[in-house]
Amino acid sequence: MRLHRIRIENFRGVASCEVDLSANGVTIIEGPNEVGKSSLAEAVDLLFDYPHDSRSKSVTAVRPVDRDAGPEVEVELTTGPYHLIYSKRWFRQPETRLSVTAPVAQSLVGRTAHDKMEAILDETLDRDLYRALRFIQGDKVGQGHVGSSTTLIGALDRASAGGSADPEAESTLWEAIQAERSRYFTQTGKISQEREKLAAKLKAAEQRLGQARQELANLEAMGEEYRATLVRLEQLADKRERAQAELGELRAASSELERLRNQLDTLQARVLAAERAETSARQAQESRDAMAAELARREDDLERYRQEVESGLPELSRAQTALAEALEKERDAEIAKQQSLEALSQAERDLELSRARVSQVLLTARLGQLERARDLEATARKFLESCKVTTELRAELTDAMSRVSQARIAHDTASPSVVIEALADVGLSVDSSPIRLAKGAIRHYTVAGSMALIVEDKAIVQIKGGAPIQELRSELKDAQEALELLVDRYGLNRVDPLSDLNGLLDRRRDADRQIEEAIYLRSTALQDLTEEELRAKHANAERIVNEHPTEVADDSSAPISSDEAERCLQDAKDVLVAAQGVLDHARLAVRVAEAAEGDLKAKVSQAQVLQQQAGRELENVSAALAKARELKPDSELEEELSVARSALDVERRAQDLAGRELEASNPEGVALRLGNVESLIERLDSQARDLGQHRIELETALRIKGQADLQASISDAETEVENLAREHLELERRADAASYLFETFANHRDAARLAYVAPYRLEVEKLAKLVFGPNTSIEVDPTDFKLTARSLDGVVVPFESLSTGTREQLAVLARLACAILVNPDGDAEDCGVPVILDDALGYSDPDRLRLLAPAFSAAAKRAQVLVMTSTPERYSHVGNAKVVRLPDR
Amino acid sequence: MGVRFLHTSDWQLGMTRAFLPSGSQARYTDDQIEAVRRMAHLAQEAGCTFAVVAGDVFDSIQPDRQVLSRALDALGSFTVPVFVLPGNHDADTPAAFWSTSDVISRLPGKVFVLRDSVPAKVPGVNAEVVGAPWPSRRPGMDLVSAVIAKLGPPTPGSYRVLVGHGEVDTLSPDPFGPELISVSNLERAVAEHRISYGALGDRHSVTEVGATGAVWYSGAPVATDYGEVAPNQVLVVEIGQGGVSVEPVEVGSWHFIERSFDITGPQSVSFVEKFLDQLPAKERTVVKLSFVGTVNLAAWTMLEGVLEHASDLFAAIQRSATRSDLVVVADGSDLAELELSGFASQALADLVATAAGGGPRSEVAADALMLLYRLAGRSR
Repeated sequence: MRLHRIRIENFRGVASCEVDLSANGVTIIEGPNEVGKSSLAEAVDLLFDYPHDSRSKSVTAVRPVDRDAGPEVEVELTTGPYHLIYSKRWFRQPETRLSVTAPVAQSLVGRTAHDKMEAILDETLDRDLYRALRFIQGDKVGQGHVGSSTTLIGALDRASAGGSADPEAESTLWEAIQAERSRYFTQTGKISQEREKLAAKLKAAEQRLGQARQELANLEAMGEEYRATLVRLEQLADKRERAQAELGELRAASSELERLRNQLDTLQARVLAAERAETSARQAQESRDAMAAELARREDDLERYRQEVESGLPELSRAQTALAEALEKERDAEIAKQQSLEALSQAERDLELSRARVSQVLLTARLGQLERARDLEATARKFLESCKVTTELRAELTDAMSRVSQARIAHDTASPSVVIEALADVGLSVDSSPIRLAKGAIRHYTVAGSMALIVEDKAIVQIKGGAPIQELRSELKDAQEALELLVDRYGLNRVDPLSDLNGLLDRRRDADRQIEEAIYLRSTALQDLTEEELRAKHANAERIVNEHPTEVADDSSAPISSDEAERCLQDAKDVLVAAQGVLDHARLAVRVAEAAEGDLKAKVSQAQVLQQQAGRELENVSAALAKARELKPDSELEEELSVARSALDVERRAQDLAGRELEASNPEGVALRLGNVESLIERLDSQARDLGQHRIELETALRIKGQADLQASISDAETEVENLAREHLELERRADAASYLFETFANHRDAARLAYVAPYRLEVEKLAKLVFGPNTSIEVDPTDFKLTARSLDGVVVPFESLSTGTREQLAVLARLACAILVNPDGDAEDCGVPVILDDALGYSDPDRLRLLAPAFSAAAKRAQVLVMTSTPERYSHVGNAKVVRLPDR
Repeated sequence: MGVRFLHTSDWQLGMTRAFLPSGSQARYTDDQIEAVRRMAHLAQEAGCTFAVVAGDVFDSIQPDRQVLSRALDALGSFTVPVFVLPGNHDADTPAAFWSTSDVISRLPGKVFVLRDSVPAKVPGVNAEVVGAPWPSRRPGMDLVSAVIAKLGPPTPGSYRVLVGHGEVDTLSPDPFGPELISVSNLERAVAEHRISYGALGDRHSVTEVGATGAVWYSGAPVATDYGEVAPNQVLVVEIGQGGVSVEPVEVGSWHFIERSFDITGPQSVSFVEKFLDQLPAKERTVVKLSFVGTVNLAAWTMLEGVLEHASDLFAAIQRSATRSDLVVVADGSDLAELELSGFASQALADLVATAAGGGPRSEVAADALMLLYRLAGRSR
């Protein structure tokens, strides 16, 4: 199809616009936005697709809003052999006009015109391709669905030398094949429900048939069982007859046995009677013998007892003597033991006395010590109580004495000193104290205040000190008075108070020591006792000693020592033990003798009793025997026994004979066989009853099953299976055929598409090399013919990963390639399709735009290319382009 | 004075042929019953004094109740005594209708069932009938020889007809079957005059057995299957001083025809069409067809059309189970007719090659071709 001219009026915002297009080559329609460029392409679509009375949204959308006018479109075009002018107006005075000028002139209006135009387009235009080769402004950069274009396929088919004459027909056939397949398979390739149902029905019918046949077979088997049952019943009847005959024989034999048994029973009774008679005679004889034996035995007993008494009496006498001796010895031992006990008692008393004496001495000493301690302590305490001096007093005294001394020294120093040297022995009196001095003796005196020295009563020398001496003397006097006061207060020796004091302090210390000593003495005296206890013990010892009878002087009664006493005691104990031993032995001997004497006494006594008893019994037995013999003499008894024994022998022989006869008739065998045959008959009868019951059951079952029309069921099932099997086979064959046809076509279709890809790819690649360079290659998806990747210098980039500009360029190139392919000869009458690019290549840089120009030129040789753009510079490099500039509104 | 009687067997009443459409099956059953009436009529017409049915009166030991009633009704039309022998199909087992139903009590007065081998005097006729009935479906022995072994000479001046059922050893492909009837025993009995005639059943074709001329299979009065030689007949037998004479008389009208055709093109198809066309009594004729050869799609379609038409006319048209002998190949004219191009023409070529290749897929490829032929035709 080639568009020559498009005119629109009242179309969207465009009041009127008409463009002439270059039938061959590129027409660039320039103009600013909204002057109606895009409306031109849209207008052609509306013209083709919608009748003039359409109220579709697409048509309504282009109705101008600013004036009351119907949109109008007129197109002049060539398509196939047709050249025509086609126009429509919608809404206001709607109309359709078709004016065909070639090949045959024809003018049509209205619906007829629309239908005619539809027919022309269907005949000559591949509408899929027409839409696919459109590139609309604002669309996502897409590739166009060229895969469904039959024109393209046809062209590719020719290009790939496939030779398809009618791609459209192929397409329709392919759809029919798919539809046929879908009758037998689901979309996912599974068996259709219809086929599954039929297969299931067939299977069910086959099962029913099998079941019906089985039932008939079961019936037959039951029939055979019935027949076998009859045979077995007959066999049982035979067996029973035979058993019955045997039973008769055995019963006869059994009667004979009974007779023999009765006979034997009679004989047995007679033997029993004879046995009783024999027993009776035997017992009488035995009784007589027993009596005689008893008599003899009693006589023996009596003699034995008599001898026992005789021999026992002297023995008893001896035993009694021995007993008396033993008793004597026992008495002696008792006395000896008593003496030992007394000696022991004496020794114990001696030991106690001895201990008491020692104790008394010791305790007396301890009591003395205790007394002493008490005295000592009392004395010391008394002193301590009276003595007030202390060591502190000594310091006080020393101090006072020191003051006196110092005062004296000071006094004396200040006092005149007198030196008396005896030139010869001289008697003097110093202050009235007479002294005698030997010749050459020198004596110093210090005059305290004054001194009167009488020499030989011949001269008195008065020596007196000065005034200061008086003071010193006063001081001395004070000191002396203080000292004296102190000394007097404590009752000290005035001459040598200090010594006195020291002596007192020493005594005081002694008193302390004495108290300590007293305490020590007391404790050693008491040890662990209190004084009361000590005294009690002492009193006890004293009592013991005092209680002790004063020993007789000749009894060497010097108090023996404790050790000695203990030794005596031990000896006494030993003697006692020995005495006790003798006593024990004597006692044992007594008991032995007593027992021996007792035993003998009892024995003799018992023998005497038995002797008497035996004497009495002997008398009784003797009397009884005599009486029995009187009644029946011994010879008579013997005769009776002999007769009874003979009779018993006879009867026993008869019984033996009858027993052997019975045994010979095999009574056990007969009884066993009889029992067995009876059981057998019982068992056979029981079996026959069971089998008879089974026969009746089978008969009934056969009769019931026989009513079930089994063959009819089989026949019905057979027919059903046959029909279903045929139907199933047919259906499956059809399904197989459809599937096989589908697969074969699908394989070839895919293969063809693969073949088609090659020329298409080559054509796109040819154009792409112009734009991207000689080392460009393109990959195409054979199913939808979409470009999948571009490879440049060996680097493969998936289409979706390419830049928007490159994708846009490739999309434009793919459309141009399609246009070239579908019209390889550029024949105007061919069904070529215009490529319409509406505001494309907005993402392409100027270099690319320049490189794209040759591609446009190449396409322009084969196809009509319409370019709408508001940016004419994009296409400024395209040579041979007709440029139409739409005026501004 | 000789005797004349009707010898028949293998009525197979109640037999269903699953391949028959329901209408044909009903007709078949009706005709089987009708044949009984015809035999009764024939017996009277031909002056027979009695009739023997040598086994398989019914097709099953438990025949359809309706069939049984209708059979008894038809048997009632006999005016002479009829002796019926249980055969292998309707053996007298305790499980068979003979015992499980009241059929014995419902038998028409002149009908007697040979349930044992005691010779039965035919009322008013100088003949006796002795049967070798099947007591079960697998007796495991030659029943006829067993009967013969116990047979003494017949009542003087009386003819004796032995009625037996089963395959004879001389005709069996397996000569060691336990139930095969010894022909030599039969012939000896004939030679010793212990039997005058051996009336056999089981074989559905009229067949003379042995060389005595006195032992025959009567064949089925109504054909039951393909491969039966001279069915649809009964025998009118006459025994006299001069020996035995046997006359087959047709009573049935069903035909089972098997035929193979070479198919090479439209002419062959026309030949098939003509063959079918000339067959008489189509509603009682079952045809099994097999085809050998190679045809194009057009001829195949034509053949299909012919067979479809025939199916409407005949009792049944059966196709041999395998079709591998008929190769369907699209030839130039077929292809031209389809006018396929592009990948479709290649797919077509592929299918044609596979169909003609005789490989395991050739049959399905031929089917696919037929389908394609139809789809392409419709799409045009």
